[in-house]
Amino acid sequence: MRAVKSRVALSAVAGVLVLALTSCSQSQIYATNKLTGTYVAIPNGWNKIEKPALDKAESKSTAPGAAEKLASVLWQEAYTTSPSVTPTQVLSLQAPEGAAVYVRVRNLNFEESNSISYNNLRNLLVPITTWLEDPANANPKFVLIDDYERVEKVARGVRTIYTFEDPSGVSSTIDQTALLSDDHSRIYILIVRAKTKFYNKNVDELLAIGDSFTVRGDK
Amino acid sequence: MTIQSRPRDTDRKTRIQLSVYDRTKFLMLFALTFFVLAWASMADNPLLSFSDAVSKTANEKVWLIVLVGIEIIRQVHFALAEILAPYHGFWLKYFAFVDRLLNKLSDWNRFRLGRVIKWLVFVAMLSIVLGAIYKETPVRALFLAPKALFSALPMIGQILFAVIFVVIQFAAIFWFLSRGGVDTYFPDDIRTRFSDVWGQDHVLNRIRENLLFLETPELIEKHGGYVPGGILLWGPPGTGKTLMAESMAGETGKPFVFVDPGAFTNMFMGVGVLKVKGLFRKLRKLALRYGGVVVFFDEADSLGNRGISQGAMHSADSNATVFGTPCNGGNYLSDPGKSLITNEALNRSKFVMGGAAGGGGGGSGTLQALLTELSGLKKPRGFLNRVVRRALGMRPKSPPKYRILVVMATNMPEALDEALLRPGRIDRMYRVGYPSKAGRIRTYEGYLNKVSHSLTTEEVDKLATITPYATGAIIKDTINEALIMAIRNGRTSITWTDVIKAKQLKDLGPAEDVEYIERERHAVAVHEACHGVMAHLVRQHMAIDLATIEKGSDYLGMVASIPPDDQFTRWRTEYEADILVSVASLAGERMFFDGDNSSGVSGDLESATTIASFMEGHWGMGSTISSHASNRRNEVGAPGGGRGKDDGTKDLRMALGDRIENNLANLLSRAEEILKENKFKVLALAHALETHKTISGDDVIAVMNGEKGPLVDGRPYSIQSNLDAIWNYHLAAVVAHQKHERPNLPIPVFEAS
Repeated sequence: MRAVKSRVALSAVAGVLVLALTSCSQSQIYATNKLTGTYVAIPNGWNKIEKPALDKAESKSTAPGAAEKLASVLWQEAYTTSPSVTPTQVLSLQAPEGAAVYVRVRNLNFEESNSISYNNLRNLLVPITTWLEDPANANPKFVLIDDYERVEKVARGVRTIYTFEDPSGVSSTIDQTALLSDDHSRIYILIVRAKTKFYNKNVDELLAIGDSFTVRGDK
Repeated sequence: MTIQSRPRDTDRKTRIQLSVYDRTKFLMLFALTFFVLAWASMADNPLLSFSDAVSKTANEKVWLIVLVGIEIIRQVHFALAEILAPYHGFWLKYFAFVDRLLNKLSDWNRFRLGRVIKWLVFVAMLSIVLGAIYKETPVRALFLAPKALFSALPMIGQILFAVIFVVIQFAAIFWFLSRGGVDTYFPDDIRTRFSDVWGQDHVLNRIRENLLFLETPELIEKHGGYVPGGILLWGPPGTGKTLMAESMAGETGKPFVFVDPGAFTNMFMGVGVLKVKGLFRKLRKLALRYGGVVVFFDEADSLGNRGISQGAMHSADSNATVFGTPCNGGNYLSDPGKSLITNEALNRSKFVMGGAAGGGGGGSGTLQALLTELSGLKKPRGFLNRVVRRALGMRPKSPPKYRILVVMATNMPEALDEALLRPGRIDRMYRVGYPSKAGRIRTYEGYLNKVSHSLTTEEVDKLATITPYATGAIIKDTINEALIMAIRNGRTSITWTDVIKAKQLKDLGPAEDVEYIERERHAVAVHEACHGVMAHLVRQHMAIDLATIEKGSDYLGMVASIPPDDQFTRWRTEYEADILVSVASLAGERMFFDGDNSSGVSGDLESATTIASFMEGHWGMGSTISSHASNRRNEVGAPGGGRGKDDGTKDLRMALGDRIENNLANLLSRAEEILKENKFKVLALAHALETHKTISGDDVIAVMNGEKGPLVDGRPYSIQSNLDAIWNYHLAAVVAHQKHERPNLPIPVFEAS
């Protein structure tokens, strides 16, 4: 009996030591915002762009209501495969070098929360619904790859994957997930994008990023 | 083959080997903590895998890894100390140095310093925890804590109310019940000093010694001894035990805790134990703070015992069967004789009552708790000291030396538990007995100095002589009674007469002013005169104090004697004289009343039989040698004759009772012969008693010798015609006794010459 206890104790000690000394790095990057309960798993080795840098880039926008939108952002981060990608490039429609992931949580104002719909969520970056209704006037390389509803614990919305020609004329693929909180007060956005050629080459890895997008809501 | 003892720490060269559990418990604790933290990370992030959670925890909780490292170093240190003697010796030496430094502080300062450090550590730990909760710096979090606490108060209040509502019903009641009965006096609270205690100098000197050791313990401790921790003062009531304790309180520079006799008598079981524990907690605190404390248990017999029936103690009144007879027979005995009979009565009662439930004054467990506190296992105290230090593999600090002097006082030492009296609990037992003559003189002088009086030094000396067993309380009471008598007579100064009357009043009680019918008065007078004459003639070790035929509350008359000297041994001839005086009443009544005798001799015979029994069975004053007490204890039966006797005269296996009866019969015959030779003296003394009711010892001598006494003129009793008149009166009284009528002759009256 005493020998068994000794073995158990020694095994426990050895376990702790092994775990403590060998477990030094994680297999993924976990982009997490505990305040809003939003989680995304990014492959190791990607480069992170912090919120201040993104805020700064966004603040240069002259679009109507841009400043108000920026003020209502609770969390935003970006990850890129290439360290040379700038925040401005992340926020533009032009496909970056390699792949980029952009995650954003923002409060909606009264008007937005009353008017927002699944189609609005689909048309977040480009007018997908219009292009689908009027293919003649659609982007010449627009292809809808996938579109389905995502339901999370405190939010629901759509995940849309499509290909289109970006302003520089390059075929670009976007995997966008836009979720609206159940009380319509907050929007959770995840955009995974790359040139189509790059995307197709790394499709499993990039799809896994979209799959990992999880919203648990406020604690 | 020599028995190998487990080596002492000082003899051990290496450290004691730790068990596997002790060696790994902290590492296991850290492992558990690590996994709990990893689990918490996984609960915090739903995407996190187990391996990533482990990695994250390892990266973020560096302090845990540091602790693991420290623990491993500590265990390596212990392991080296277990294996390598020089290594262990080095550390032992180092820590001994640290201990020596710490011991330079006084116990009280170490206690206070320890308390401050504990509080600081507690506050620091709290602030760290709060800092982690509030995500603030520890200091700032500490200031935020009251606010959070305040906001949580309603919920805490509700929970506490629910708990307290249940607990308070018991806890509060027990708490209140465990209060009281203990008074604490600090130096100079009490003004009584040793100089106020008179007549007990030998005990006082010992107590003074105890106090000296308490106040300067190094006097004995530096020589390897220890301060005696317990004193029992025992002795008859009124001998000044409590006064002595009060004077100790006045003399000592330490706090004095007085424990009421009823402090441990409670309605509920367990309260007594709580009281004892509370009392000793208080004593330890006082001892630490003031360097010592004296605790006094008055009437310590109230603590009870675990073996002897309390009923037996209460039956001490049974000695009234000896002293409460119409003749007050016990008073013809000297006080040792009286106490002997009392003890015998006690033992008889014990025998009858034996096996009854053991008395415990304080209720179940109280006495045991007291015994444990007095000399139980000296446990290290304090949670941090006992648990935390041991958990860290360190030995708890030894408890400091609590210098507590326990003083107990009782007049029933036999009622105390045997375990209470063993050395270590009660180291010294002092009998506070009757004061010696010098002590009585000092006591009389002390109390007389407080009042106005006209007594001379010789009279005080005489007073001390005729009050051989007077205690301080009796002396104080006698002087006070004398003062009352003086005031009643319109005076403020006490005279010799006042003191003597007060003494008689205290000795005999107030006379009932009952007038005997003539024939009964004469019978009582003859009865007492027989005692008186016999005492005068044969009892040289006692002097007659007074003789009276005034009826008291529980006697018809008496002849009281006192020992003129302080004597500590008793002899066979003295006991024989005691018996002769006792049986003189029976011999005299039979002789003067034609073989008739009254029931008034019963007490005399009981006294005489008891003394004769002890002479025969215990004191080697009879025809055998062996001790009846021993024979009875060993159940070997009583012997018949004995080696000291001739074979021809030895009765075969004569029972002890028969031998006692024979001895008494022989002494009765001697008493008859003596009285026959002195029949006129008996009648003369009876006449003096009938005439004056109460006379002093000097008057008895005056009658015997035909001299003038203080009250009675004895000279007429040396004239034959007067004696003839007394004889005729006696004959008339005998006829009246037989016919139950008045004597046809009046009592003769003699003119003073």
